Amino acid sequence: MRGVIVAIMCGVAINVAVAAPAAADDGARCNRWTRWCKVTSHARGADRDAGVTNRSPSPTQKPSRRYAGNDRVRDARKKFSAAMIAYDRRLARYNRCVLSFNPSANPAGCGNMPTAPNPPQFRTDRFARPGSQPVTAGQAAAIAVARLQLPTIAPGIGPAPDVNPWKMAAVGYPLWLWADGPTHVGPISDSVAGLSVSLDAEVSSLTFRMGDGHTVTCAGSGTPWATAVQPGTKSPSCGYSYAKPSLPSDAYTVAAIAHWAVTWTSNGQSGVINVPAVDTTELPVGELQVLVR
Amino acid sequence: MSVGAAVACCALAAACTSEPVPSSAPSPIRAATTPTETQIERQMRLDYQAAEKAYRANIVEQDRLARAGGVRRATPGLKSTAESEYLSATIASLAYIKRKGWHGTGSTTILGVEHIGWQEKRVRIMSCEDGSGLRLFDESGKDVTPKGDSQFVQSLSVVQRDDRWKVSTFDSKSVKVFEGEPCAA
Repeated sequence: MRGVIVAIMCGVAINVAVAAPAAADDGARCNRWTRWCKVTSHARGADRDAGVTNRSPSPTQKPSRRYAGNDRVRDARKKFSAAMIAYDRRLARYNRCVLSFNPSANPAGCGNMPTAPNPPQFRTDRFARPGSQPVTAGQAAAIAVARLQLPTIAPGIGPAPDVNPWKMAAVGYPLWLWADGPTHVGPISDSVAGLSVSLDAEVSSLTFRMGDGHTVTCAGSGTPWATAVQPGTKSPSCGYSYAKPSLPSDAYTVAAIAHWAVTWTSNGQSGVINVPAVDTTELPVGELQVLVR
Repeated sequence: MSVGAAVACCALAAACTSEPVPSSAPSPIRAATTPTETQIERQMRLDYQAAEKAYRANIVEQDRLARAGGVRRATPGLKSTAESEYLSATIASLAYIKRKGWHGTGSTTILGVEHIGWQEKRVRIMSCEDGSGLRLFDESGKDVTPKGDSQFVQSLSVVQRDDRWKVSTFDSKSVKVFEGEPCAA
């Protein structure tokens, strides 16, 4: 891809020698056929030609004050865009870990949710025109959701083992499963780089990894068990019966994965960001021996 | 149920008293243990499917055109699946191949596509594109494949225009290996 490419920028013809393909970095746009990577921060005007790896001003050209200011804005946006891409990657990896979380295979857990990057800070009048905000509504929403402190959802399992003399759940007994904790947060408002973001979070579904190799997925947040429930009654919304005991050797580690659906609205746009969260509990499960006289 | 079993059940539930058991079980909300897709979840799933389909179709069309020697202008196949800067960048590369008189061989391998974010009429996806099997040849048959990175993690915005989904904007990162990238799983 060696050659001389003529780019017309700001009405001035500038010769840019493309020595070698640039290594792609965050903020680049690459094509796998030609292996060009166009770094976007210095690109000005329309794309008049192909193969421009990095359109930088010629050494003799002094950038005007106006463009110097614009370059700073572009650079900041580029850095922020790159940071958001990196954040997306970390978040996708984290979400994948949570969604596939298996306590026996991954006892160390998934760590903390990644921290979102800070948006660029500029004078707000620079972004007065519509569509010229330093961040997009989607980016603002992603940052606001990352800042959102969602409550912990513990696995709710009833009847709890400690309400019976054997301090265990029984094989074959219908257990009720639910999200033990607040399942709705909002609506709340946040402001990101001058953009107002409204958030409303709700647990849309639950996934329980029961510790015996089985997984139960339920819509909503389940129905809490209460002492008034008739013994042996199945949960109307989310339940499970163990087929094998965990005792006498150990207890099952039950993981509850809460699927938060965070609905956001900002700058006339809206969307949903899914935030999974996991918590675990130990559940001893044994067999009851029935004596009939 | 035998008497013994009933006693066991009562003990488990800690609910056996001499008083009648009030029937105050919570009212059924949804069918037990059946995952129910909400309307918004369904919309998200369909949008992601349509966006990914458009993106994959665009890659297939790009590969076909590169193998055929490039093009100077967008074909209907490209225009129906891409727009804006993504389409411009695609045409720029294909026009360069055309101008040089080259033609390509091979096909892009998409290792996987990860769904990153959704909003109405716009989704973001991340794709692991492996172009290491792509080659460019000049008119004499000489391999002129440019040196440089050929494996990219692409972060793409796909937007809905009327009834079509189109790849609109993108950012790339070159990788030596895809291992550990969310889209590689």
